[in-house]
Amino acid sequence: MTSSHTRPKLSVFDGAPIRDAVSAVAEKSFFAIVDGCDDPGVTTAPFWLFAFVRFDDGRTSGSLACWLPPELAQMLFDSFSGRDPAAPTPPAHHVDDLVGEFSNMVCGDWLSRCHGQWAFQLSPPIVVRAPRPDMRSTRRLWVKVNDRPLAIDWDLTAAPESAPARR
Amino acid sequence: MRILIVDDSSMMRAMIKRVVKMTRVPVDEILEAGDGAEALELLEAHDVQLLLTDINMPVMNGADLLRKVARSDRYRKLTRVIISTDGSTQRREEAAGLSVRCYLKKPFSPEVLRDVLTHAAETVRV
Amino acid sequence: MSGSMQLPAMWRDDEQAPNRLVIGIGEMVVTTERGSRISTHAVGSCIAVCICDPHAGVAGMLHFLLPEASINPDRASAHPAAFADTGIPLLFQKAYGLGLVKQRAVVKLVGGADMAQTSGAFNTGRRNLLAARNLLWRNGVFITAEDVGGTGARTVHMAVDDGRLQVLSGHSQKEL
Repeated sequence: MTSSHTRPKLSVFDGAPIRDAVSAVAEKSFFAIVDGCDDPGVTTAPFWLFAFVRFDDGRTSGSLACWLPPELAQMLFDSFSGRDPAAPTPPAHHVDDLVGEFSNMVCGDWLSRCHGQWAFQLSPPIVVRAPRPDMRSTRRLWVKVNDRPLAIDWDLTAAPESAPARR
Repeated sequence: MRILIVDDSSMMRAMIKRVVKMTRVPVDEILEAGDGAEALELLEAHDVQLLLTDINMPVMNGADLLRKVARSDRYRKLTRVIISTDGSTQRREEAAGLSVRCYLKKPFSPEVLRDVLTHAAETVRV
Repeated sequence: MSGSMQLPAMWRDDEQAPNRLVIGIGEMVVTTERGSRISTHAVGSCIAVCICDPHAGVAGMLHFLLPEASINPDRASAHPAAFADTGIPLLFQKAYGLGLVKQRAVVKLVGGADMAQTSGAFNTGRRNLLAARNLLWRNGVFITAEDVGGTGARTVHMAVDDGRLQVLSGHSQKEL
């Protein structure tokens, strides 16, 4: 068991624990492998799915968002649900739900890795479609999931150390 | 045995349902709810033996659902399992105080859920 | 494993051992021959998929090399057992044909080592393992046991009667 002394910090600068969280989620629940990504190829997808989750553990609040091309979203859907890729295409709202749950799990796993002592609250994921990832984001991690690009943006709003913990 | 799956993700509910059906756990009916409030209504209306609930959900979260269940003598035989992304010590300690039998952290493999279900089903008192 | 250690007859790697079926890389076998065993060697980044229905007396083993047939369609059509996505369905189809029932199937995975010790983009062992887990989940089959990962090659012996495995790697051995 990881002690609080060896836990990575929840940081706006350190993407490594987020990458570890993506790997854990991708491998355990989606049977997918995560690699580094040098060239995300953002212009090749017709649109991107954007899934946004807010969190708050009473000490720190913030957000995490995932950008996925539709091909990756469909692949994750098939892996998670056990759907045969040759079966009829699932409704878009089911894929959106799954992308939201993926982001939810990544955020939760990241928080559990870094702030493993404190319970947290997650907002229901918001999933929308966009032409391409918003390039104004300054805190972004690109990875490849089964050779498809995935971007993760995150932000933190640190509360004062003396702030009482909320339940 | 009647099972109630509570999660705001319909795909997560479907995945859990698929695992339940793949196991040899004897199941008569699987009910689903998207939040704690819906779950309470179903618990009122049906004789449920096994409750599998997420924590972070809209309307009423899983922790509030479990607190209400713990306060009612009617549900004293209900076997409770948490399936959540929140793996924190604080949440696990809270769960232990609410008579939660198993705590499964997301993400999980189908086989881990199978083992949790099999273990939880053994404790069900029909 | 110590050189002087006496193995049970089922596992003994000699001519007196019971009926042996040995498969190579990219091969598979399914049998109903009671008392026999299936073996494969040099399971490195490859995966040995071992299935058994003791009630029906059916067992099979696949030793696949790569996750997806799309990597080399010509090879896949000539040697479907070399790839997870063509080999695993074929293994189950043959076993179903001999009486294996999915709900009773004992399924074990061995291999998936990181032979190059890169853990990087070409981690074939990890990709193979995830491909196998994905295909089994898609087909509604739970994995009973695994001996996977690490950095060394393995030898696998499987008892057809009950699906028990003996896995040898370097100086260690274990039963699954």
